[in-house]
Amino acid sequence: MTSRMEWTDEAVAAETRKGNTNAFRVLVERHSRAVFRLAYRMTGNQQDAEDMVQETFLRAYKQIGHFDGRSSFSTWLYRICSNCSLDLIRSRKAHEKKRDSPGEEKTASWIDRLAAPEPDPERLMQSSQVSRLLEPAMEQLSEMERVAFVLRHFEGCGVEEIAKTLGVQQNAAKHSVFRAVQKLRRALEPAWGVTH
Amino acid sequence: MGGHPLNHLTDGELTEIYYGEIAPAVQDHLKDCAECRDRLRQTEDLLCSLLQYPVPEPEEGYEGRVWAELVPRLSQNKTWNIRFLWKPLVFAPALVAVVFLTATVWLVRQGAHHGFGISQQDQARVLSNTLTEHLDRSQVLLLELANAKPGPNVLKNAQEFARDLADENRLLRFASHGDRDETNRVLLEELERVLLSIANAPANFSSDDLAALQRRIDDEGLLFKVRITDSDLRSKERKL
Repeated sequence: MTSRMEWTDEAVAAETRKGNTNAFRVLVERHSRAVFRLAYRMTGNQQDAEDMVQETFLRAYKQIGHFDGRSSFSTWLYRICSNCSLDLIRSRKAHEKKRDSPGEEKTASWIDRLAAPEPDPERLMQSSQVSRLLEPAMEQLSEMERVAFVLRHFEGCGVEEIAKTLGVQQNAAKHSVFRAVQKLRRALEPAWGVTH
Repeated sequence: MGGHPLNHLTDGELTEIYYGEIAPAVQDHLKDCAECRDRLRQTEDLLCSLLQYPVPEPEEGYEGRVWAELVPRLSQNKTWNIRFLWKPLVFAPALVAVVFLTATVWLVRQGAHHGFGISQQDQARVLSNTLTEHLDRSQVLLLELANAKPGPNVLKNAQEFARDLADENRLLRFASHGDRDETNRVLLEELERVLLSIANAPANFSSDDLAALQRRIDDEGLLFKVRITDSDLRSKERKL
């Protein structure tokens, strides 16, 4: 008899569709860390990332009937997570525009909490410079560029998977990564040029 | 591209090299071109620097915690995962409650009614409960449509549901007038516009029309806003 942990994602999804909520637990436990990492890269904030993990799995559960196995379950989940994160980012931007309060303390992002592996002063200075510029640089990326870059650079996804996540052709996914790198290079060169 | 020393590598090609996609012609060019090697080094340095910023590793047992927090919400979803066939049985009493509630709230605010002896706190609780239930039902509709595939009669069941939700939404919006916090009223206005679009969609609703509707739901982040407001209201309800 096949144990539950040997089930493929597709088999578990099929079981969930039959109404077996506990089967969904297998998917949650398998993918929650990866979803957290993606959400954190997208939102830059641990609390938001945790909210996005919940939101992603809740949406996935509600939409499990629409998972048809054409892409892998993780790709499908990444797509949901990306959309959730982008919704949050848009919502925050809209809220910040309305609030427009310069004195308001921004939520700390992962960029502010960087831990250099070696406390080399030169590297710290450079990292500090890069970190200061990185968040505004990421905000210059379009939504597609941001998702494509995060998936490519931090999650190690191939172009095909990125294309399926974004729902675009592979060329478009590839160009989104290129444009993201170009924009980040332009934005970060002032910091990078300090020691190079 | 990339095979001739005079044709330097593009940024795109340098990026591809970084991610491990190296065409033979590009490899040959790199051997011959110091400038491109230098640019590649800069690209690698830049992209590698981004990897220094780690994601905080969730604690041991994180997966279990995620599941434990998720389970109650999955149960709520099942309650509201009504199919349209069951809608009339669920909807009619809810609509009656909304009409009664909003009339009461309106009359009390006009100073014309004592609110049937119901305290303001209880009225607030009832309004909040009704609003969260309305938002739950709206989420079901929006999710169904956001994930609908084009086809004949794609809106067949959704339109009547949207019409009823729009009526309920109007009353709730009315009841929310005068609240100091305008967040709910603003959301209900946005939601009502989308519900009315669905309810009043023409008979010849095409796949392009469906795609446009789905983009609109997506672009406005409506599902997310409904979810967040629902969640906030439930938190406040627990405190009331």
